Amino acid sequence: MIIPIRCFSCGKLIGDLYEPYIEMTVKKGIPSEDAFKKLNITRFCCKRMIVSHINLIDEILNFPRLQ
Amino acid sequence: MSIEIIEKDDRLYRFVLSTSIEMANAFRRIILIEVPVMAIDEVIMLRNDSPLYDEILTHRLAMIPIITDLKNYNFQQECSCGGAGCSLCSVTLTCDIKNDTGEIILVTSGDLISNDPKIVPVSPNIPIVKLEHGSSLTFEAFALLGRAKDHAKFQSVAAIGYKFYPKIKIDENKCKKCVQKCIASQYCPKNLFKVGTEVSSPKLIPDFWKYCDLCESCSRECPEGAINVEYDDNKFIFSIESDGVLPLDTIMKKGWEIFKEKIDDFKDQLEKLEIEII
Ligand SMILES: [Zn+2]
Ligand SMILES: [Zn+2]
Repeated sequence: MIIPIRCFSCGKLIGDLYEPYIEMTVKKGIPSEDAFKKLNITRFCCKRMIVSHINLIDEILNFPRLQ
Repeated sequence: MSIEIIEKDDRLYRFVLSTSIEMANAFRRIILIEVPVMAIDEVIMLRNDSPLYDEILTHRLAMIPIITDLKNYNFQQECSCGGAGCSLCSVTLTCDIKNDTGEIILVTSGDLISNDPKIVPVSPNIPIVKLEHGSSLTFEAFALLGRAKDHAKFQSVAAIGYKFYPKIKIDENKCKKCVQKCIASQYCPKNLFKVGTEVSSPKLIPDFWKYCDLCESCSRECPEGAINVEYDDNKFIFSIESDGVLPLDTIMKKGWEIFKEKIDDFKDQLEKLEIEII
């Protein structure tokens, strides 16, 4: 749906790092390993939070819910 | 008991703690569980047109780390207001957003308006929810002091752990039996051995203990069994990672304070106890 605020396993704050990560990897083409180093993400539990996330909220917002 | 700091950052501490394993683990658990921290505990949702349910939105709000002031705030149950909530025990964060921009907007933690300018979310960029055109989000949230044994949102540290202090012994007499270059030292996943071309016993880099994982691949691969990997029973390499709610110095000091209080309390309880000797 939307990026979780904390890592499920360790509790590190990762919600504010998703946008910079997408900016670096998808838009600038930086390898994800370097992007993680720049964002100071060291553990693999936090890395999977970002790598495996799909922002489904953008899809849901396309459907009208308000009448 | 002594502390020797290896690495000091505003978010990460690494230090060597020389004490017994019981004390080291007690210290770890107290920092993880007992150090009080502020987090949103109650939300009054007035209007929510976002795609997320009220409960999910409330849970997301609770997860936001909030910079804590331990001096000026008390626990709500110990407060003079008797648990009703007052300015000495709770902080109100309000959000009132109506999207009339014609585009999708992202509501972030920077949109939360606190009634105490010092008690704010750690980062203003934490996403809360997205709103489409015409929807609005209005709520009032109350942040309280709490302990992580009640809920993980009150954790003062993101990660805390310790590892054993490695002691690696290399027997040079056994090493002399080897004719070719040292094979065992090449298996180290962290490259902690000095690379030499001569036939001699392998040498470790001076600060190998900072990085050694005690994986024992060197001692396993040595054909002569010359490398012996052990660990020190009374030395631990701690690493504490904070998410910014409290400075790490405060976390450590508060941790020791609580530890001492608990030991004193335990002593008092023991003295009161009448022990029957059978
Ligand atoms: Zn993690
Ligand atoms: Zn109060």
